[in-house]
This record gives sequence, structure tokens and C-alpha cells, in this order.
Amino acid sequence: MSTTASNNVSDQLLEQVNTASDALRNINSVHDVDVATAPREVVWEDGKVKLYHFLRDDKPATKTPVLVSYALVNRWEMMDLQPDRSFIRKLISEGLDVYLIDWGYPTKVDRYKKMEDYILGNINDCVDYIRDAHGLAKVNLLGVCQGGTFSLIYSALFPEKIKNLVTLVTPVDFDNEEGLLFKWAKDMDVDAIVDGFGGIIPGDFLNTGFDLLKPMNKARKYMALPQTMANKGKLMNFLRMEHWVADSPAQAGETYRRFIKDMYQHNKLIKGEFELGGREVKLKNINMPALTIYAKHDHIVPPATTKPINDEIGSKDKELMEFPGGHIGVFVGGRSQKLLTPAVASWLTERD
Amino acid sequence: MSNQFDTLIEGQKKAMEFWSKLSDQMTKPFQQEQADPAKAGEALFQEWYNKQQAFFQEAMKGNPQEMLQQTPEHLRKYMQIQTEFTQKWADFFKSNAGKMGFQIPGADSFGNSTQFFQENMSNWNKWMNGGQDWFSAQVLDKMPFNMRPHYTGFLDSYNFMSKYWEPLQRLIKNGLYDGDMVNKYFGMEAYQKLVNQMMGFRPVGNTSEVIEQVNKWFSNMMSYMGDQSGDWKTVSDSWKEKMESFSNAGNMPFFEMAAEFNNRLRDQLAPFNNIAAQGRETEIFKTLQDIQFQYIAFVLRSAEMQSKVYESGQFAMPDTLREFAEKYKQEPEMPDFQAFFQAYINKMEEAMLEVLHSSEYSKLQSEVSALATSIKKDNGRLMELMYADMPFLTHTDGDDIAKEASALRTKVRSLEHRLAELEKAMLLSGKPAVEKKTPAEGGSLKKSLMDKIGIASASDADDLKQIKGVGPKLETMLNDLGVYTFKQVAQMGASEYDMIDELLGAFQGRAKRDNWAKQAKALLK
Repeated sequence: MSTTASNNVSDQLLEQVNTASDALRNINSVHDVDVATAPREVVWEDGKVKLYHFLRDDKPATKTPVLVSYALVNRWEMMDLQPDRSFIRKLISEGLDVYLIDWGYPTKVDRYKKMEDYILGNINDCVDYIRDAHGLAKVNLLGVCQGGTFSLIYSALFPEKIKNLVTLVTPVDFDNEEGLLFKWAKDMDVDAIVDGFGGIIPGDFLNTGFDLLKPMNKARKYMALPQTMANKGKLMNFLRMEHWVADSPAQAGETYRRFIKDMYQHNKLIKGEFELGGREVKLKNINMPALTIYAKHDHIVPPATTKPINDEIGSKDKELMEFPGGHIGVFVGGRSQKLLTPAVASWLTERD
Repeated sequence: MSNQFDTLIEGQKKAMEFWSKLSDQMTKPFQQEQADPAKAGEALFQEWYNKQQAFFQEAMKGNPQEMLQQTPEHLRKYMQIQTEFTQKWADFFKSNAGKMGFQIPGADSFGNSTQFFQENMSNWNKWMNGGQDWFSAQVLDKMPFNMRPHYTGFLDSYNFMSKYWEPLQRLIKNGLYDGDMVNKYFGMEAYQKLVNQMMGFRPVGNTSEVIEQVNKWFSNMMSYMGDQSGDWKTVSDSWKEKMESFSNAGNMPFFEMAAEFNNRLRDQLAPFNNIAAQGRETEIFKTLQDIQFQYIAFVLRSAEMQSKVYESGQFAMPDTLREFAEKYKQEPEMPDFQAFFQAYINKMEEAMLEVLHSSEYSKLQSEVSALATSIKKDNGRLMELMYADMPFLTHTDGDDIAKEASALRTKVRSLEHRLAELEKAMLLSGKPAVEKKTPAEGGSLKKSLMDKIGIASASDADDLKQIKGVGPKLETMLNDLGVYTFKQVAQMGASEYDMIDELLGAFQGRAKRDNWAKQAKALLK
């Protein structure tokens, strides 16, 4: 972004040419946008869902591995976007043994994949795999955003399998007017939408909604584009973020329908009215140590929707932590690296 | 290679700098010129300028790769142009210096030189625009697919703003926003264009025109599909007539009224559809008509939704102007083009968010998306009906299969659960039959192996048994290590063979003996 104001047209032209030529040189050297570079192996898979185990050079400092459950909306790569500012890499370097569920890209055949399939099926299978592989009765669970809501439900149903629970920017109280998504979802005719799309919600549909939360963000971003491109490092990070934004998986219709209705519209989880596979889900049944993290300036999942987790669960050892930033800043950004990840790691290490 | 590219870019930067300085200096003698020499000077400049322009056009034509290859040749040509011009200019200056002097310019020649520079400025602009086109084409090719329309939209709005930056500056300077001026440049139409570009709206312009087209399309479609029904045309015609009369009735009430009319008409037509029994053709017509009405409702509602957003931000421009004019009054420094644009965008967003937060908007948005998806669904249904005799897997068939698969998944889960319970009961007193090696041990060796040969998953697996010496058992063991593909095996060398030996324990030395990497490379071809 230019900071010097010039009234001289030729100076302005010159500046444009300078910026453009730097940008040109940079864009010319881009061949591939690399995201999710932390080395990992697939240790378990079922259909489109994979369980990754991140590889490490040394033995982990903790004996209990942590399973990361990301949202179904958008891709987990956000947690390993830039090699130098990766949430995952940082957890590993802090001594944790990290597993992560990749939900894959649902297609039409997944239209009837239900919340039961995700939570009682996939999450439970992954937890069992890790318990079995490490010969442990309990593992740590770290849920992110919607994946955090799933983790709460899972931990309430299977408290005997979870040692510690960390929820990151996770909505639990959906009765909120502050966040636009929460407002819009209440008016949404979700049946018409799921049926209209033939049971599978395209990623673009969700992206349109996210874009509207800050309608002029695109204009702002692209206005600075020539300047962004003139700096190779910035250009690559910009492209990584764009890659992530555009890489938006479709949603299995039945899960989407249920999540919108039971969570956004009827707020069943916090009211204790939610059931899964015929079993009641009571947040009070969550009794393991729990760490709840919210982002102060989160416009996607506002703090008011997250904070009540700490009041509603039955755990004695529980902590509420504020992150000074926004929803995305939790995963990329200096403060995440310096403050958040070490805090999560030491909280888990203390309770290993 | 990249050094040559750097050299070219540096050369261009220097040339621009040189040219801009030189043109400043040049202005003086021209302003002081009387008659003929000025014209000769102009011609000289013009010639030099044209040559440069032609050169740059030629040089910027190809892609970066081609440009790089031709760099030395370009540099040579470029320097030749400069040398030629300098010589001519020196000659010209020598022969005319006496006549020029350093006197106060006459009115006529001042006019001439101004005109000359204006013309050359427009040449510059032309060149800059050409460069921008080329640049955006290059940039666009590198962008993630979904980003492209936004970037094009951005470029358009950027051009729009830069085109009007001059009049904007004048407005700021004069501290007024002449109503005509604001209207001309930033009236509703221009503003709508900007919003559409930034928000990716597919704008609904003149609703009655769109609806007329829709009706025409549908009535053509219906008459094409069969002559058996005469009623369709009349419906379409009466609808068109009504819409025309409504369209003059103003904005918001119009949407309301037209939408209601649309619904009423659809309801009243329902009995007609039932008279003609339940044949497939009848259903096709009925579906087509449903789509027609839904589409019209969609057009009306999205026009209403868009107009809400448009209305919200319409004062952003005059307000930003006012703000900057006041700032300029206090400290007369013209703001940066981008600073102004940014302030404008912030203001516009603020206003828009207010509307986006309102429940009217939220309800409209919900209605619009429900209508849009419903149209999509009915379209699918229409296709199914039309191609019912074709051997395609229809959505309904697929749906049945997906439903069955889902039920089976639930069944499998419950059986697995029962099995696990039974096993637990049986093993309650015993200990696990097999001592498991935890993944943490051997993990680092495995990691170094993966680092070297790359990661693959079962879904890209090659048939490793094609490698001589690898049987089904060894293949399974390799898979368990994370080795699935020929590509991975092809990366192996002596140290990887050792790692494999250590990790597998069995089949010592076999990888080396049979030279797996060489075999895998051959299989890859």
C-alpha cells in the first residue's frame, strides 16, 4: 500500500511501474502454492475420511497423543498454512504427539451422511485407533470451530475415552444476534436449500455467506494486490490464504440440515435437548479437564457463543482463555505462535 | 535467467525515470518557443515517443518466459532508440538554442506545448493501460480459479476510480460537491456497477424487461414442447401485460405487489394442471410452469434484496468527499488515491453491514436462496421426466442408493458395537494377545524414510507385486510402512534400502539384491 501522497502524475506513474515490475518478477517465479507441509502419514482411513499422524524427529514429550478435529466447513490446512507459522508444527515442536482427522471432500454419495456417522462413526473410530495403537485408555481431544462442537458432543457421550478436552473458537450457545451467520441461519429455509441442492451443499454457497460478513473485504484485499505481489513473501502467504479460501469442501446435506436446525435454530445442545443415535447428550457429563479458547475479535464465532462452554460442562478442572485476535488469527499469525500454541501445549503437558 | 529479467526491468525503470525528468526539462524550451522550431521539436518528440511505444508493445507481447529469452535483443534495440534520439535532440537543440532564449513564453506557443504534452500524456496512458492488460492477463493465469472474477471486478472498479480521480480531486479542492458532478460520476447507476463488481451480484437491472424475456423464453419452450395445450400462451401473455402495467408503479411497493400477483396467479392456475390427468407430459408442463413462476419470484426478490444493499451505501461517496474536503481545508495536501478509495470502501461497508444485520434483509436472503435452490431442484426433476426413457442414473435412483448406504452404515456401526462389547466381556480377565509396538518408536526412522521418498496413501497405490522379488506378503508390509507407489520406490537408494531392512526385519537385503529403484523407474515409464 502506497503511503506517500503525490500530486505529480509522472511520479505516480513511475511508482506504478516500479510496483508492477516487482510484482511481475515475483509472479513469474511462482510455480506452486505449498500448504500443509508438515510431514505426516495416513494411519487409518474410511471412505473419504483419513486419520493423519504427524511425524517427528524425536520422541514426544507427552505420553498422551492429541487428536485434532477440525470443522467440516473449510479445510484443516488452515492449521498448517505457512511453514513458518503453522499451528500443527508448533504443537509438534512443543513436544506433543499430534493426530488429525481429514474429513475429505463429500460428494453426492454422502448426501445421507449424518452427524451420527461423523461423531459416533469417524471420531469414535479415530479415538479407538489411537487408544489401541498407544495402549491407552484415554486420549486428548482438540476441537476446532464446528469440530469443537462435535468434540463436545463426543466427550459428553464418551467421557471415559477423553483425558483432556480443548475447544478452540467453538460455538455452543447459538442463541446469538451478534454474529451475522447466527442471525441469517435462524431465517434460513434449510429444508429448501438441502433438498434444492440435491442433498449436497456446494462449498461456494457457504463461501458466499462468509464473504458477506465483511462485504468489502475483497475490494480491500485486491486494492492492495499490486503492493502485496511486489513482496515475494507476502505474495506467497496471500496465495496460500486464497488457496485455502477457495478450497471449500461441499457439505453432506443431512449433517448440514441437522446442524442448522438443532444448533443454530433450536440451540439444542446447550439446552440439553440434543440427542445423537438415540442417546441424550448432556454437557454436564463432560468431566475431564477442559480448556476453552475464544478469540476476542471473532466475527464468525463471536465470544458470546463460545464462553458458555466453561459454565455448562461438568468438569472441575476447567479454564477459559482469551486470544487477542480474530477467528483466523488463532491459526496463522505471530500471536498464535507466541502465545496460544505454547499455552495449549503446556496446559496439556501439565495434565499428561 | 532471472538476472537478465532484472536487467530489463531495471532498464525500464531507468528509462521511465529518465523520460519523466527529461520531459520536465523539455517543457521549458517549448514554452518559450515561437513558431516553427516548436513544431520541429514536437515532431522529434513524437517520433521518439512512437518508437518507444512500438518497442514496448513488441517487447511486452509474449509471456515472461519469452520475454526473458529476448532480453538481450530488447536491451540492444532500446539503447539504439535512445542513442538515436539523443543525437537528433542534440542537433535540434544546437540549431534552435539561439532562437529559444529564456524569455517569457508567448501565449500561442504555451498553448501548443500544453496540447503537445496532453497528447503525449494520453499516449502514456494508453501504454500504461496496455501494460495493465498484459499484466492482468499474466496475473490472472496464476490466480486460484475462484479468485479470478473478483480480481477482474477489482480491476474494473480500480479503473473506474482512477478514471474519476481527477474530478474527485477537484471536488475535494473546491470543498463542494456539485450535485450534477456527483450525479454524473457517482449516481445510482455507477454506484450499482461498483457494488455488483465488489459483491459479485449478478445484477437484476430492469426487472420488467427481465421478466418479459423470461416469459418469452418459457412460452417458446412450451410451444416447442407440444402443441396440445393452448392455455399456456394466454397465461404468459396476461402475465406480461400485468407486469408491464405494474412496472411503472415505483420501486419497493412494486416488488411487493408483483410478488403477490405472481403467487396468486400460480395458485389460480393449479386446478388447470389437474384437469389434464396425470400423464408425464402434463407433469413436464407443470414443472416447467413452476420453474417459470419461481424464477420470476426469484428475480423480483433478488432485485428487492439488491436494491436494499444499493440504497444503504449510496451516500458513502458524498460523505467521503465531504470528509476529505474538510481535511483539505485544514491542511491543503491532496490525499493519496488509495487513501481516498480505502476510506470510501470502509464507509460503504459500514452502511452495508447495517442493512445486512436487519431482519428484513435476512428474511429476503433466505427467501432468495430457497427460491434459487428450489429452481435448481425442479430443473433436475424436469430433466428426469424428459429423459425418463434414457438409461441414465437419475437423481432419485441415486438418492435411493445413498439412503440405503446410510442405513447400512448405521447397521454396521451397531454390529461393531455389539462385537466390541462381546470381546470386552471375553477378554475381561486376559491380557492382549499381541504386544503392540507404539507408533512413537520407529517413528523417526519411518519419518526419515518418508522425507526421502515422499508420502503416498492407499488410494494412489500401485501394484508393487510387479516388482520382481515383491510378493503379496512383502507388499502388505511395505504398505504398512507407508510405501504404496512406484514413484516412492524409484526414489530409494542404498541408505533407504538399509532403513527398509531395519524396519521390516524380514527379507533382509532383498531390496538391494533386486535393485527395486531401477525396476520401479522402468515400471513408471
